[in-house]
Amino acid sequence: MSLCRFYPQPSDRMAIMWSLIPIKGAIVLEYGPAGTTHFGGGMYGSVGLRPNESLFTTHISEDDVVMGDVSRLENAILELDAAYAPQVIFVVASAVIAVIGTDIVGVCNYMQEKVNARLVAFPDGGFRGDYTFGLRAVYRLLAEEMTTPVMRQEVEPSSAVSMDRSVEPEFKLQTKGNTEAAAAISYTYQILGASAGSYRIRSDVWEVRQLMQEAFGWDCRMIMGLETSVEELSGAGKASLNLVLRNEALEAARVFQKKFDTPYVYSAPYGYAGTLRWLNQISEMIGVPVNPAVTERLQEKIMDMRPMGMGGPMGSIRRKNPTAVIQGDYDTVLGLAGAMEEMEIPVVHRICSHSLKAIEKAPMGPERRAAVDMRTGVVEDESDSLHYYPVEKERLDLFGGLRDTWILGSEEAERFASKDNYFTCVNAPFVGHTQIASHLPFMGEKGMDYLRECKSSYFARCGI
Amino acid sequence: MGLDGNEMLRSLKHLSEVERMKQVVPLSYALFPGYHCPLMGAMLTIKEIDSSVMVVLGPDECAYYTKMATDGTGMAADGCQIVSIVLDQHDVTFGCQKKLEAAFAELAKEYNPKAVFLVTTCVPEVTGDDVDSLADNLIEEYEFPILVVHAENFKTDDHLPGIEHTMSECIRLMEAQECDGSVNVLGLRLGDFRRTETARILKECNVPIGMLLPGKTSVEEIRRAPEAKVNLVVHPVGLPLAKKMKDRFGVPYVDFQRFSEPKTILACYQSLFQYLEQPMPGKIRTMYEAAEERTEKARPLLAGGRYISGNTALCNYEMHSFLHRRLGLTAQLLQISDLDEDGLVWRKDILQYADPYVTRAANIGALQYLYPVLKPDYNLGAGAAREMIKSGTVPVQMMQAYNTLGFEVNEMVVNAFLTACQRKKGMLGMKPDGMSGKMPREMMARMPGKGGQL
Repeated sequence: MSLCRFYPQPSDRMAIMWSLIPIKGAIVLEYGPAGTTHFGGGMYGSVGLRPNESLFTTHISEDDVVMGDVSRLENAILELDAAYAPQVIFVVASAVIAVIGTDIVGVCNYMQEKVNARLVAFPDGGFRGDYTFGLRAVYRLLAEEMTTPVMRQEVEPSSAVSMDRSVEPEFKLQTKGNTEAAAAISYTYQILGASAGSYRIRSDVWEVRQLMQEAFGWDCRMIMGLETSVEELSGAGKASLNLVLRNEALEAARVFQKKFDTPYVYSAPYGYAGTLRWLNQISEMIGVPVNPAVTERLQEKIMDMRPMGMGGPMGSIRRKNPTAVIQGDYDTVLGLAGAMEEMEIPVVHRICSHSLKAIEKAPMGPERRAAVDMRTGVVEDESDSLHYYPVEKERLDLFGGLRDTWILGSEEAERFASKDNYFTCVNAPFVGHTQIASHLPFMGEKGMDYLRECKSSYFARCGI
Repeated sequence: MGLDGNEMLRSLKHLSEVERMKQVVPLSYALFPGYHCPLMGAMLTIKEIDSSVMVVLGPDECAYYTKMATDGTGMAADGCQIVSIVLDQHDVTFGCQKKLEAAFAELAKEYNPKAVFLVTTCVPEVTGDDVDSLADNLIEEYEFPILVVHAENFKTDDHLPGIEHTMSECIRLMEAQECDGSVNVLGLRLGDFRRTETARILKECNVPIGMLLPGKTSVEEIRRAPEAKVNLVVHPVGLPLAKKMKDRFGVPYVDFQRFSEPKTILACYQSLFQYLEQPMPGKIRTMYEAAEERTEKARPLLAGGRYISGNTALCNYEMHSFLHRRLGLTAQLLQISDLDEDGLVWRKDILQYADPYVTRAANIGALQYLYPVLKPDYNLGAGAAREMIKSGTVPVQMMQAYNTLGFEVNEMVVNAFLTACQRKKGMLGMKPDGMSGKMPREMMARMPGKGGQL
């Protein structure tokens, strides 16, 4: 099975690009044919990136390929350093450069002494694997290489709170009415694993920030790889907590933990109960109770979904059994599957959009995802419930055979499934589903509100 | 912060100093957004060919972007399946033969294509896979023709070779035909020929339109293309195919690009109707006279204006020659993609009036630093809007350029400059007649937005 009918998986290089371009104070220089940069512009735009003097290409000629001439790269580095004075220049090899084996790491090494900007090379050119490999590599590199040591007194006090379990935490919401506390203490956390390639990630981040502010009064200081700067990365050790939204950022979180003693929580809030669990996990980690108003509101919504809630017992009468199929990134699938369970919609296929090779299976301890079955209390090894179809045809055939199903997936699923199904776009590729709003999440309370609305539409459309 | 426009200018050469593109200095070593690649050119051409399949042979990134570009609304593939064979590290090391064969087996079964365009990218061109031979082997196995389009980006500075190579390969689909008196249109990169003045005139003369390439066509229509009476070449990318069709099938061609000079346009029409063996309609001469009058009347209003230019949809050097010779405008900087022999006569003509700086195209990021230095009155082609405003530069907008041919090109060019001139005067707080001569009342009335068209 060698034919790719729809979109191939984005490469590791593409993920590296969309994670580096948003970093303010840095420039991404592609070493390779200009067509790659120009052609990539459409993709960057679709994920909300607007490169403004932050992305350049050297272009290459046949001479460069045949003779191994790297003067274009050298000149471009010198020029960018002099003209824009960036703190960092990321030099990213294109596929053809990786194939001919140009030693861009070596070039960056000897050019380093001629420029003020720090030079960081990415030589793989897209052949290491799919985008999950790229995300893992770039997050780890940012954590390892772009951060600087932090003096202990610079660490914001919430970290100390989380470390000192002997002190009974007291919830103090930082609001306008509590300005004294707000002025005295600045709690910050960072979001790791918010990938620009994820559908509606800006909305999800917005929801996470809202939840963290409302539940704990904490501020976000950095969203690594999505909205960040060289300075923010450099001072990443100042944060009191890291929230890991996707598996690929786990290594980076461990680096932060090792370097700065920063604790982290790996989980993403999906569903009402899932969001409450997520908040409680964080609460346990930082030693600050969840704002009771948030807990109460989420519990009310959980109750509202019970058969005796809105609509009464008659509301649970069904003409057909609802079923869902979820296709997406690892954490998206697991998170949405949890939300489906809350709505009592069985998920018949959990399809991972990418290879699971770069995914750490069933991390335990503080990294363990909230995978508790609500009714039985059994903890499942969630990664085993996902299936990756490396053969595109099998995946397309599966979509083609679905009927009366709520499909939460990419445009691929939408394209190849019949119109008898109900579709919600939750994953890339999403060319026909432009993202403009940044307040329509799938995560958190508001995400679940929206999913419930989708459920209602699904039932109406498919006569459930 | 940013590039030094003065220093940049000092490094550039003038038009008189360059004979080959290698001599043309880029504005900067680091480019943005950079050139399009031939893969995109091939895609633009093939995606409109009904009953065909385009196979991108390359890494996932090339395949992804091609799919994405043809998946939207503006450039959506129409009648053509766009698929890919994604090369990984294993294929780079051991060759792509097995993957190619397996993919074609799937493709043949699922799509039953009338023709397959196998488009290479940089990686297979560097690894040395003999894609032509592999395709030859596959042709023996399947009933459909397989056309290999080489689309490596490192040999080119824009996407046009991708269009040209795709078109040239199409000769292999063609078969000798009885002449049906039609006209093929070769090289219309974007736009709709049927909306052009030339199409309307041909329709009035009952001359059928044959194959449009690039354009909405089909494998079957390409096969029958030699039944045309004449090929209309509207861009140089169509010339190699036109020459091949002339050699192989005896179909003559007319070089009928988007010219601005009325006399050149008239000559194109005369040549076209000569080949059609029909008298040229009288209205064409009337249109010519109107174009001449329009041009003469515009000159006093525009003369002395200075501009910089990127690539446009028109025959660029011919247009610059027209702007200098007929309208009295002066180019300060030309961003160019070629120094081909075809444009030599016009380049010599430009040099009689001015010797502009030349640089390579598609580097808008760096271009913005030249506006404050050159302070041009006008900007043609893509540019940096914010810097233009700061420097008092007005963009010359030719929005429908891709849907024009014939005297309407002259009309569009003159009107676009007159409109820009009005905006420039407004920007300077001057009355419309204040800069370089009084605009005649009747011309004012025919200005866009003033109730008429020139």
